[in-house]
Amino acid sequence: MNLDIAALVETMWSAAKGPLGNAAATAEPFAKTQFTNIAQTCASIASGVALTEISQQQAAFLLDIQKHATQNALLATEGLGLVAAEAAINAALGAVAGVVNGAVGFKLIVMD
Amino acid sequence: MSRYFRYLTLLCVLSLALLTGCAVHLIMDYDPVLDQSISAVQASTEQFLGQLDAEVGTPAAAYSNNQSFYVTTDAQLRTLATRAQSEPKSKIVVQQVTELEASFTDMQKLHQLDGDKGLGHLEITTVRSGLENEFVSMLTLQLALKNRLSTPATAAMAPTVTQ
Repeated sequence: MNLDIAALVETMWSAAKGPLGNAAATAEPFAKTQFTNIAQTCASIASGVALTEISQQQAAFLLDIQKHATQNALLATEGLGLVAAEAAINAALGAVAGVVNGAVGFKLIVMD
Repeated sequence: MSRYFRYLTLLCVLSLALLTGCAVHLIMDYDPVLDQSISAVQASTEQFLGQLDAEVGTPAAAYSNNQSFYVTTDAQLRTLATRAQSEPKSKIVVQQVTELEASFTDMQKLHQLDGDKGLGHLEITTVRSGLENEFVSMLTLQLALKNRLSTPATAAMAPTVTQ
């Protein structure tokens, strides 16, 4: 049975974007590229099993590697989300640093 | 009432000072040694898989003749994990290294399973694809840490891994 790669990617993305929350939009291009790679590999494993080039036991190890790859991609998207959130917060603080520091008379907000 | 507002204002200023006294840091600093070490593990892995692919079906591809690669890589990954653990706010990167370690363990078990026959072409292609995806994920995050506060990561940082 041939796997529908596009459908696999959409399923993975649907599962991942919830936990990503507000960072989903930032992470989407990277995550979808990674999920496509992973889905293609899953299809390759399925094809190898069908052609008896890969045993059930071998397939289990190969799929496990893909699971780790998926987990790694999700961790990267989570990290990218944090970097984006950090940039947004710091941009907001930086935008008011001059006004606030001027008002209090000392460097309350230090962006270095 | 005016005293209430004065206290409230003071509280807000103190909270702001405590919470936002300096730039917010949600994830670890960029560590060039970590970044370069990830690339070094990838380079040795690509070389190993390329060699295995060229030797499929020969005694040189047997697990018994390649155990040293797994010992060396395990040591490199443990060193990576220790370095990452020593950095504050490095939980995500440490987890990434843990996932990569688990993939190498799977690859070793697969190679052991194939014994004297060694890994086949399809196995090598599939293992390589999975590992390359992991390296891309790790290096993309490293690049974002390196470029933080300038350009956010985009798909352009994540090249498609060919099958």
